Amino acid sequence: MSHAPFIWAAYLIGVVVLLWCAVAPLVKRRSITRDIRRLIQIEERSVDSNT
Amino acid sequence: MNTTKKSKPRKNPVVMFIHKMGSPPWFYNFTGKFIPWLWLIFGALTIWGLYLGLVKAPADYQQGESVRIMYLHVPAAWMSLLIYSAMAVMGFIALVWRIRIMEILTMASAPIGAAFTIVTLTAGSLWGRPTWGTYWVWDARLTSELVLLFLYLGVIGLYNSIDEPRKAARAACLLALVGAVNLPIIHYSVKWWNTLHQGSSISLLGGSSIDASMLWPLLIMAVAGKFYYAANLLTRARVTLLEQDMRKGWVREILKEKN
Repeated sequence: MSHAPFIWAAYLIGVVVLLWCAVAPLVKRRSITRDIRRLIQIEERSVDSNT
Repeated sequence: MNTTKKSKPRKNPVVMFIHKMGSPPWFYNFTGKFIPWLWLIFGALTIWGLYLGLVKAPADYQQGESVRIMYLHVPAAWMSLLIYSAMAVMGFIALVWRIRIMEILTMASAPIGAAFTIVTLTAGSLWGRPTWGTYWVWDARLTSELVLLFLYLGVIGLYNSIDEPRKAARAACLLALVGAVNLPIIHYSVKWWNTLHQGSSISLLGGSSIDASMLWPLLIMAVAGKFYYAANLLTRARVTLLEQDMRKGWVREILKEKN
């Protein structure tokens, strides 16, 4: 039995899982930053309309 | 006449540093400086470790080429235990001293620990098929490692099921602390029970039964895992701080500075 498919599969799964685990917080940060900027814009608009 | 001057009590720099780390803006700015370096060191060590493990190290005289899975499986297994231990310690500190950063760090550790446990189980399973002739057996070591994955998922699930983040973190910290009882079971399972999983080949006190050509890539990959954890943990903690403090001034100042 060739061991190569088992070795490649193990490393491929390892890379995918650890890469996903590293990228997930970056994606979340981008969406949170967008939310905060939107919140600031809404607040600034409401301040402008009140003055 | 008394000539002795009363000097101000000097504050311990370590205590001062811990106090500073408790401040969200300081933590955010301070850790942000290190994260790129941690990723860089992780990348360099991983390339070096994989080169030694996959190219330079010989095949095992019994396991053949499948021994190369060990350079992923063993460091991942060590990380799964280390991260849970760190979670238990940080969770204890968070519960006793109510330090918010500790709650955040404990919760940020759980997905990373779960990822390493998934890698451990899948790599071990793919090693088991050519070596043992099966992907899985309900062996004490394998089962207790699977329980560890369920503990990580339980901590993540409990944290996400409660709306108020601090209350959620405290409940999940308690679960992390209780689950620590599984750690010695995993470690000693190969000694306490008659298992198919092999015993430890590496001993800190000498007497390792592994050749240096295989030991070095294993140790390098293990150190690389620590840098991955540190970089990922700090990244996740910073994101959680931004999310929880999005209505606070310091977050807005940081975003304005970036514009």
